[in-house]
Amino acid sequence: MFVMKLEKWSRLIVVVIGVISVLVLAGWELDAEWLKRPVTGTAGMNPLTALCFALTSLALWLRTPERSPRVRRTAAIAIGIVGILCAYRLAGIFMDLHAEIDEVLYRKKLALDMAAQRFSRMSLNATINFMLAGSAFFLVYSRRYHRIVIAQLSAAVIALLALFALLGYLYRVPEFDHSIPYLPMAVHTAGCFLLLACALLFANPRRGLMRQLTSRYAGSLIAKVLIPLLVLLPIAIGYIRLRWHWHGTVSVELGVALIVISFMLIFILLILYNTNSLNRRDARQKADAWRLQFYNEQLQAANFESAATNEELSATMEELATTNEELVTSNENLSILNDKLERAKETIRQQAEEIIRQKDDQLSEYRKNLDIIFTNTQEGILLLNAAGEVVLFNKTFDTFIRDNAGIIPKAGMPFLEVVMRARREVAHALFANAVAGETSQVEAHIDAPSGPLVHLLRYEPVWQFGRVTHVIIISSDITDKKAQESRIQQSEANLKAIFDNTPDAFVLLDQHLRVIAFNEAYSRNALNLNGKRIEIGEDIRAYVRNERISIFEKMIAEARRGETIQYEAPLREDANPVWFRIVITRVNNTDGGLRGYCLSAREITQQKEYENNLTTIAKELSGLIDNSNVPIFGLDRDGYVNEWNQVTSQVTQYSKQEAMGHPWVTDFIEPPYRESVREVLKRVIAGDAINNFELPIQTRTGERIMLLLAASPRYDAENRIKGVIMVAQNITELIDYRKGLERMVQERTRELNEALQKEKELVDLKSKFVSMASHEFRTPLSTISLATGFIRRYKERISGEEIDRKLDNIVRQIEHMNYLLEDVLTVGKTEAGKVNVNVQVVEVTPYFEVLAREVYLSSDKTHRIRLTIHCDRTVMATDPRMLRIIVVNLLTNAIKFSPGQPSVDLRVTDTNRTLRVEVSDTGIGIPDADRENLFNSFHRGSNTGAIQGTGLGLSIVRKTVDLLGGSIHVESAVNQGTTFIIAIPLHESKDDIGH
Amino acid sequence: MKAKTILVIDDTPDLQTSIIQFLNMEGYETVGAANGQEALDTLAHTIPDLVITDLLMPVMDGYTFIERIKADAQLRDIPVVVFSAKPDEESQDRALALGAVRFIRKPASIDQILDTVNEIIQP
Repeated sequence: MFVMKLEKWSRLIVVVIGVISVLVLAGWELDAEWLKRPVTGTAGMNPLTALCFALTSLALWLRTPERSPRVRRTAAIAIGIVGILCAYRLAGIFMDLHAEIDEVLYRKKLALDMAAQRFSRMSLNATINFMLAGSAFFLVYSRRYHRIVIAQLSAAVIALLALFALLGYLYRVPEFDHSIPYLPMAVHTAGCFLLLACALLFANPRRGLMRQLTSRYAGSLIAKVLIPLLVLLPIAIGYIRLRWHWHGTVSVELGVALIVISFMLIFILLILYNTNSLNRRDARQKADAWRLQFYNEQLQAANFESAATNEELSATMEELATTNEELVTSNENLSILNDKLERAKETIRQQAEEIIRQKDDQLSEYRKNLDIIFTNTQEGILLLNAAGEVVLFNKTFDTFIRDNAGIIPKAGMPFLEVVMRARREVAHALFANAVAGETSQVEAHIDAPSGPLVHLLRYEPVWQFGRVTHVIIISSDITDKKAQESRIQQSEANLKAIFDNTPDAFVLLDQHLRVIAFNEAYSRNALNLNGKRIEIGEDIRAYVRNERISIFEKMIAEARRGETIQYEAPLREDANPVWFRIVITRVNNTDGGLRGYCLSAREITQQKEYENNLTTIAKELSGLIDNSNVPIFGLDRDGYVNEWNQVTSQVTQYSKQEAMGHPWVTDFIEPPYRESVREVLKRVIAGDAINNFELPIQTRTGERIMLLLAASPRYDAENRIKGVIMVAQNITELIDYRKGLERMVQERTRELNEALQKEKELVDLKSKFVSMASHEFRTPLSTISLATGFIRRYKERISGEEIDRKLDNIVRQIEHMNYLLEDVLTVGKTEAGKVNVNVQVVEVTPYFEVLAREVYLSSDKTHRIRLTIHCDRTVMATDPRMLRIIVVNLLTNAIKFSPGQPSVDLRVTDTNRTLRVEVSDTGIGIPDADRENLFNSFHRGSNTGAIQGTGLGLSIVRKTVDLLGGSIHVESAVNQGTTFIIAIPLHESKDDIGH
Repeated sequence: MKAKTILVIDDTPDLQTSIIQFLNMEGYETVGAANGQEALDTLAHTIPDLVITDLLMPVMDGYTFIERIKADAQLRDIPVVVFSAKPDEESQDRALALGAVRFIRKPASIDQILDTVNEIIQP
């Protein structure tokens, strides 16, 4: 009932809040100042705050657990709007936004308020309260306990903040006078928040923290009294104290002291009240409990009693009835039993007779079987009485005695008579022992006619009635068994001999590692193992040094799994360590189960020394390789570098660390050579040794070096190929040298070819000369021949002048031939390089004038030679004979190839050190096709036609110009003329020329 | 009887003159030409009884000349004697194959030439 009331209170409060908010909004609309701020001079409720209250109250009114989801969604949207508005306002407060959300409604009226120093903004704590109320709204109807607690705590915080504001007004706190911005809250705002907090707390009063207040237990009842008191009393006391303070009747210090005292009083009174009520309640409860228990027990006791009495009564009744029935039945049974007893007596008698008969049969059967066994057993059995007389013996005994002693045993005869003479003493003693109650056993060696026999004789007393009445002698033939035993002993001895004499030490261990056996070698070698002498039955681990126990345990563990570990250790560590190789193997039972272990130790000191020597040799070898002054490196079977000596590092500039473990082919060989190198490596791995293959390698710095490699297989101890070892030679310089040689050879070959070419040209020249001579000499010779013939044949008929003319003709032909000859000789000399330059100083002008004159005369004065000289020097140092050859040839050619023309030109100029000679004609010119071979001997222009010539002139000119170190240049056009320009270096004196 | 005419073709003036002189002395009429072309020009108006020709000449050489007159029905019967400085057999064979009747190698004496000429024609 009470709970229902609270929920109704919650809804009523919500309605009140809604009404207040609407009234405030109306106040803003109608400018009713008392609605905006009920206490003049304090802060007013912002229209936005009022709107938020309206929305929140709407949401809370709508939101109850019974509402439909659509209504709940509307409520959630209303709260969401409040949340967004408050978030905007918070942003406005903290980020100083200009467009404040709380100034949107009634902006102008708000501005007026602000101007009148009246505060009407939405405060910070109001904003926070709305956000708390929003979150509480969502959580308060949750089904989870802690969410509801959060909602109710939020409500409590809202209440506290509202109370704080109200107290501020009540106590006239000066800070509320707008001095802290965003802090003041209107009086009715605070009141509304207080109501809102109550509404939230009452919304779900049966759950969360509220449950503690709403239950009907004592705590809740007390809290319901205490909480309002604790809220209201301090407020009242604080107010009274302040009033005194305002009226100046009490000082601050006294005021505080009075407050403290009154708080103490209030708390103590409250606690006393609390304690009293609790104690009273508790006492009452306990008294009730006691009383309850007492009544209970009494009730139980009474119950028990009545039940017991009841049972007894019914039991007695039943007994009486039963006894009666039994009496009747007993009488009947008695007579029946009597009859049965008679019948049973008869049956038992019959059965007894039957059993006795069966037992008799069994006994006789048993006797028969015993007799069969007695008769047929392979053991001889003799039964004697205490007096030593034969009572009974079996067939085996009978046969044995008859065959071997020749005696026929009979019952009643003294047993010593059936004993062979040699054994009677022993037999007597044994018999005496048996009579005395002792069992004894002896091996009897009997010399039977069939050969020596061994019998096991057993003398056994037979007890009857506490004394020995008989003695049984049982004799079994153990001859074969004995022989077998001795064989086994022999083979054991042999094995032991082997076991003890083998140099390897053996210890057999049982499965618990206890020593079963060990051989001589072990006891000898392992004497001072851990300072103890080995004993059978001891745990072997007692003989193992502490530092080796873990290895030993591991070996045992491996052996148990069937694995074998070999362990090498210097077992006797004195001055000269003695090395042992220890092997532990599992020993199996016949069924395969673990029987124990065999530990063997072999001395391997020599082997170890050998190994050490090998290691030393290997180290030396490795050192040798490393320090060798040629590059040596090794690869494993997969081509990874595993050896890299210092010189290799120097040559390749890759350090050992950089090279080791790297694939050689891909990391150090240039791609074009990789395939062939792989081929080589494959062959070496197959067992070939490959020598002298050249391989270019790029060093770390990119330099290219040439290695001459010898690759051979590398073998391991089992003679298997384990890799490749390469010995290299850096032949980069050799290669360079070789290349130099090759270049030189090429140079020489070229020179030789040139010489050959020259030779060929000479041969060619000679053949051309022969051809030229045959033609050019035959023509003048013909003329001479005809002229002489003519004179001889017609000398009487012709005049003297005629003869003179013929003779002149002959002379001219001879001169012509002479020129030809001289030309040929000159060519020959220059070709053979036999011409020496002979520098002389000559005067320029007279020299050329004389030359021009000579040519003019010798060419039948057909052409005038126009000589122009423009020289700064008057004398020149050159070879005048050679210059003459050049100029005469050029002039003669100019005249010869310009038939019908009046003149040719000879122009001489000089520069600083050069003489320039130009010879021009206006003749037939030189076709372009002939330019190439213009200066070759015996070559004649294609347009020279009938103009006589040897083809030597220009060849001679060219060679002579070359000899003087000059140059020749030709300008020509067909049928227009040709100009040859010669430039010859000059010397001021003939001494300038070195030769 | 009219004197026989001989056409002498040689590009060497001295030699041509020498040959003409002694032929004249022996009673032959002579006509000179410096090359094949000149000779052909002469043959347009004068038909000689014999031609003595050099082989190597400017403008038109002896081989061409022989070919040309052997191709001419009016001239082909004129006997041609070659007088050349060419020393090789090949030139001789070529000239004879073209239709020359004799091949005299330079240098030759007057008697050699005259014997050859007289063998073919009489002055």
